[in-house]
Amino acid sequence: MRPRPRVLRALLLALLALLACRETGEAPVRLLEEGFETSCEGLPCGWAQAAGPDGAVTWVSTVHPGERGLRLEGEGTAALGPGAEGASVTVVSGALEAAVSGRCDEGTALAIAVSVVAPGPRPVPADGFAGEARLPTEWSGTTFTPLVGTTALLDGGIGPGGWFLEVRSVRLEVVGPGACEIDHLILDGVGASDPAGPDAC
Amino acid sequence: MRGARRGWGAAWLGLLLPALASAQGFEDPGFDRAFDPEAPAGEGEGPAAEAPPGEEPPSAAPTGEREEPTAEASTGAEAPPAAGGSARPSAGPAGAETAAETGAATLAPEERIELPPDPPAPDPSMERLDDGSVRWLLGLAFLAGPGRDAPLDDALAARGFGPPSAVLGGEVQALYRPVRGLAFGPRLGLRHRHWAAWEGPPAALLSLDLMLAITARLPIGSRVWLGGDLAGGVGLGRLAIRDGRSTHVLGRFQVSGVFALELVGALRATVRAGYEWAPVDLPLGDGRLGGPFFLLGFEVRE
Repeated sequence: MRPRPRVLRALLLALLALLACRETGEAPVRLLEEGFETSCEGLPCGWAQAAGPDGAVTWVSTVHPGERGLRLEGEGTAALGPGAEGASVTVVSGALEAAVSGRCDEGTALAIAVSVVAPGPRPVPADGFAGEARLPTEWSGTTFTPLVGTTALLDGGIGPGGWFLEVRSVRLEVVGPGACEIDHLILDGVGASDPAGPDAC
Repeated sequence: MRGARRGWGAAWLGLLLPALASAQGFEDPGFDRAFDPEAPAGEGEGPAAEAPPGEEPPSAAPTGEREEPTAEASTGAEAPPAAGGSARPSAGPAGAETAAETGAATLAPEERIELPPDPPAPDPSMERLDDGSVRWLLGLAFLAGPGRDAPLDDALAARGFGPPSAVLGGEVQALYRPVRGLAFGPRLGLRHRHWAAWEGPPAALLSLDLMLAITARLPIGSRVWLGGDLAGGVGLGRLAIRDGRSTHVLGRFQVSGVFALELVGALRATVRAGYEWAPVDLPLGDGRLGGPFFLLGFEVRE
């Protein structure tokens, strides 16, 4: 009994669909995305301790042996991270947005400050944005935090679309007596910082 | 660990085999005789029971050289059970003797006793397997996952992974069939699910579990069987994120309907559709490696 051509064609299409599922497509261009996955001399590559006692900033495993993050312990302890190549972002009400996967001890928050430049023809809306992320005490999903510009925009605060910004540096600082751990950080325009990855079949 | 699994399987089988045998009436010697023509005749039944101790029992087959029935033989039908057991003629070859041969025709009408009616013919679907059959079933399962409604999905999304894939898996099972249409035994299941990432390998959850499966089917026509299937067990799940691995215990319970089609000889195609529950307790958040599933497989009866 020979298989019917129609059956063979359906099988071929199913195989092609499976192969297509392996293609994840293009990743969105972020203002900055940091997963803290690689270590350079005990800290995530590109990161350095900026404040606090020695050893207060460490590279740790977080929720899984394959998931790493940055741990900052004690009031005022800070880490300085690298910049990024830049992206076109939408600034709403003079703010950017941070999407943070992390946790902090009770009564402790994480201050986030980002320094940017605008290499394009359009003037920079602000040279810095900052905010304070109130992270949960246990690991959970994503916490979205607005990062407000340090300089008011000329148009009253709303800059819809089209600023090309480059991040020069990121600073994370513990606010409070406890410790914070962060294993994923995204900086982007408001409403554009969803960290979700590509669809899988 | 492997030994402990085998111990569990043996314990389950040890509990279920007697229960199923009892439920199907296999402990009834009459059931055995009814379905197995080679089963020995019971005590007190047939000519052997009529032979005095120490003497050769008369041949069961009519030889045509039998002597005229004696008075003892003619009254044998009235013998109490303690002496001769059941008065009903045997259903075996000895039962081929006619009433004239046994001398019953010489009895006066008032001396005759009313024999109980013959037992009803056995249901073909409950035919006992006299070949010690073991059914081996090899299957490949395709399962549709529940989507992004598990905490693990959200936890991975927060770390840059995409929504979960459908669950893919396979099963191998070796089921013992005490009767046609009913089988039970161990089932080994493999499941896989992944979450794609923009960069690097996807996160993946792989499980291997051992279940005890019970399937019951009824014949619909000459080649088609319909029925239901229940299975439950435990296993190990392995979550891989980037270069890290972690192992976790999970449970699995599945319920499904079964459609089987006899193909050639002992080969059957089977389709199962149902739902399975397989929660996994993870530090990132509970995951689910189950959901509605569709299984296409083949089984070979040995």
